[in-house]
Amino acid sequence: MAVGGCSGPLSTLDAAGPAAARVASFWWAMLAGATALSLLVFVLLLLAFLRRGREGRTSPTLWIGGLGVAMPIVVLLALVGYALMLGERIIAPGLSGTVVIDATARQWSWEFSHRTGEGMQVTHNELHMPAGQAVVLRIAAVDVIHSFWVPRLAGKMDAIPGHVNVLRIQAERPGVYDGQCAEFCGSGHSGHLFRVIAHDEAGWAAFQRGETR
Amino acid sequence: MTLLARVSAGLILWAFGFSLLYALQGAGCAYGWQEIQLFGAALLRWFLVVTWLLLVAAGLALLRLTRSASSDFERRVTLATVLAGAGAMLVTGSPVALTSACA
Repeated sequence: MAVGGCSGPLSTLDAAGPAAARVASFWWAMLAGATALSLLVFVLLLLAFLRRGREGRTSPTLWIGGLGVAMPIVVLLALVGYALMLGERIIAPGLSGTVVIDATARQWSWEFSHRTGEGMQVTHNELHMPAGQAVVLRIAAVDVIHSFWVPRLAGKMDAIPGHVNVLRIQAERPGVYDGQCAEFCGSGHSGHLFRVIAHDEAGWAAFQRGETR
Repeated sequence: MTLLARVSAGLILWAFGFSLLYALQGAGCAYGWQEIQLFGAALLRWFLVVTWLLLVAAGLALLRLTRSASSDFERRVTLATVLAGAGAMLVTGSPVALTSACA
């Protein structure tokens, strides 16, 4: 049961693209750090029980100033710094030559459109993209705030009315990846789902020609 | 100035500053200030970074409040909250210099 969340269609730990892999690595690093700190607290607590009644030689400054204030500040600053760096790499503006797809959210469906040689191609609740290359998504909404999230491919990105957010995603291999709205958007939120279909080269060419696969 | 105002000034300035940066960033992106280049950076970046640095300086300037404290306890609490507010302003505002403004 403990490892039940490590795989499955909506698992962030079962990464299938570089952005999701970096997010997953960050999560594992945080888990390792949290485990080490928990052990430290448990050991200190155990020592407090075993040595109760004896005069302590450690100053309150170490406990409050060092372990209570300084250590959390250092740990949190490192985490924030790394998260900001990760976020910059995920949005990655200014990529030319990549596939650009508009993703528009509404209550309660997703519309994906991209320009091909033969005009605009629009799909609903199914995002088609080529596997093995970066795809830039321009994410927006028409009614309320939604959030685009394909856990196995990338982190979340809000879909906001009147504003376009950019997210770069990439699927390493062809396949079907589940996505869902990650921002409560009304009574139909739980069913606000979509799928990402990553095509191999031939499949992507066929999709662009309008051939259904 | 009352005791309460003095000891909470640092944190109130941080709350105000954070809201101000948030509002400036949203307004700047909406009005296209990131498209205007000035001395090698976007106008929006200049606006945000200068505002952030002024807020940090204002936070540190509040250290003067410790001089007029009427008791040692009040002086110590004021010093702690002013430093916490200025430190929080420095850290929570730093993304305006480090990250994309309107991606």
